[in-house]
This record gives sequence, structure tokens and C-alpha cells, in this order.
Amino acid sequence: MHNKHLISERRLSILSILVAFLFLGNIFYQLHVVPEWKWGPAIHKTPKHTVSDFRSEIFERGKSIYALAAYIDPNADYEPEAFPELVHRSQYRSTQLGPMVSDGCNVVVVHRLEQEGAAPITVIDIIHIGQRGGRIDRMTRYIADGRR
Amino acid sequence: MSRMIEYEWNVGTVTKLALSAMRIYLGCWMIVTGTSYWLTEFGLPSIFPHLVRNTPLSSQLLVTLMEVGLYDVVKTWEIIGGLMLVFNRFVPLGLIICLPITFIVWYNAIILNERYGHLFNPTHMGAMCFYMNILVMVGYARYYAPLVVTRAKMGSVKGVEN
Repeated sequence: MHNKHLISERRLSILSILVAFLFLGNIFYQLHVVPEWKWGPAIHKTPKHTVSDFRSEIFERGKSIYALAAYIDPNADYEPEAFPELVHRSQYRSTQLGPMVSDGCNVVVVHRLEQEGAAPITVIDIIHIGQRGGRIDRMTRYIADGRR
Repeated sequence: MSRMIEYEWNVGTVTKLALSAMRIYLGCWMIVTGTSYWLTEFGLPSIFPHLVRNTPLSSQLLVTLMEVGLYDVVKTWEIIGGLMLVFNRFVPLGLIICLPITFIVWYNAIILNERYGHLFNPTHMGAMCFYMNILVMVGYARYYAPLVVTRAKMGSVKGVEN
């Protein structure tokens, strides 16, 4: 024997909207409140955009320490002494000498570093943006010898 | 006066309920992912980060989509498709809109990011969204069945049943 029931279409619609709100809340909670990734300054940005912002923080806003803390993974693979601009109150200026080249998560920047009282040096930076954390996890700097 | 719907508790009703729940969940998920992206485009904080930096191939895909502007298109259609599913309007069309998106999400999450362990992980929406999309489409199969014709004829929409 079957028991037949009746429900109005409007009630069903309201019910489904309520369920949708519950689902939205759940999805928001899972993705925003307890996400499985770290929030970093590189999120939402292409690797090139990230490196461009990283350079702006150092050379335009003079916030080297912030850039170091925010953009570079604490376990990043790089030699700090090769990046003298990443120190507090660094007086280095940088002039980009060509287009920033990006391949996947690698970005290459060729630029001239200058500081008062020191000879300018041309350097090639190869910067790698790490997985999921949205931060730089590897930086290598080569000093160009100036030959064309 | 709202129309009354008659139902009884049987396998068919439970299946419809399950598929409706999937339709709503998939729609909500699409709305959240689409909205999260557009919030950042308007300078607002996002709901969750877009994971551009995964494996090199996944990054290439996402970075290219962003650079050529297709990511904007995808995220817009996610919202439109999601609203169709949640509000139960034009659902068969909404599912078709969502299908290429959920397939690319699945391909990116599983194949490009090599997360084969998540292939059937029910909590991993990167994979589940595609399966949900297919399952809900099966529920609406009667709308897609007319598409499967070997010798299709051109003509007006007259006589097409809704």
C-alpha cells in the first residue's frame, strides 16, 4: 500500500532555497574558514604579476622586510647574501633591462642594481613561485659580466 | 495559488531528492567559485585563493586562461550556470553550460595535478563536480535524448515539446 502526499510547488522552492543557503554556508566554511592551503600574496596572481608586485614592494615602496616576509617562503631556497636589497632600509635601485619572461611558475628578470657609492651591477634573477602557498620558494641570481 | 505536487516515498522520489540536492550543491559551488574570482577583480577579498601555482602543467593552463582572458569568461559562466541550477531554471541548459567547466576542473585537479588519490574522494569537489554534473544530467536525460539522432533535420522550433 502506498501513501501519497501532497506538497505545494512554492513550499518546495522555498525549501530548496533554504537548502542552497545551507550548502553555500558549508562551501564558504570549507573554502574560506578551514582551507587546506595557506594564504599568500601571490594568490590570484600570475607568476609574472607576483614578481612584479614583489619588486614594487622593494624598489618603489622601500618595504624590503615586508617583501621578504610576505612573498618569500620561510623555507625558500636562495642565498640571502646574493640579494642585498632584501635588508632593512636598503638603498638599492633597480632598472629592468628587458621584458620579464615567464614560463609556468618560473619568472626571469634582468635588471641593473644600483646603490650610491657602488658600481652598478647587471643581474639575472630566476624566481620560482612555489605550490599552493602562493610564495616564492626558489631564487637564483646570476651576475652578468656586461658583454653584449 | 501554487501548484500541488503529489509524491510518495519510493526509490524514484529518493533518487529525485538526491539528484536535486546534487543540483543545488553543484550550483552553489559554481556560484562560490565564480564569485570568489570576481570579488578579487573588483579589489575585494576573495572567498578562497585560486591555486595558480600547482604542477607546471596546471599552472600553464590556468596562467594561459588568465592571460588570454578566458578565465573571466569561465568564471562568469560559472555564476550564470550556478544560478540556473540553484533556482531550478533552465536546468538542462545550465548543466550543459557547466559540463565543459566541470570537466576542465576535473582534468586540472586529477590529471594535471596528478592527484589520482582524489579520483573518487567524495570531499574533493575538484573531481566530484564533474561526476555530479554527469549524474544530474542523467536525471534530465529525457531532455538530451532528442539530441542523439543520426539523421537530424533542420527546421523551426514548432512542435517541439517542452
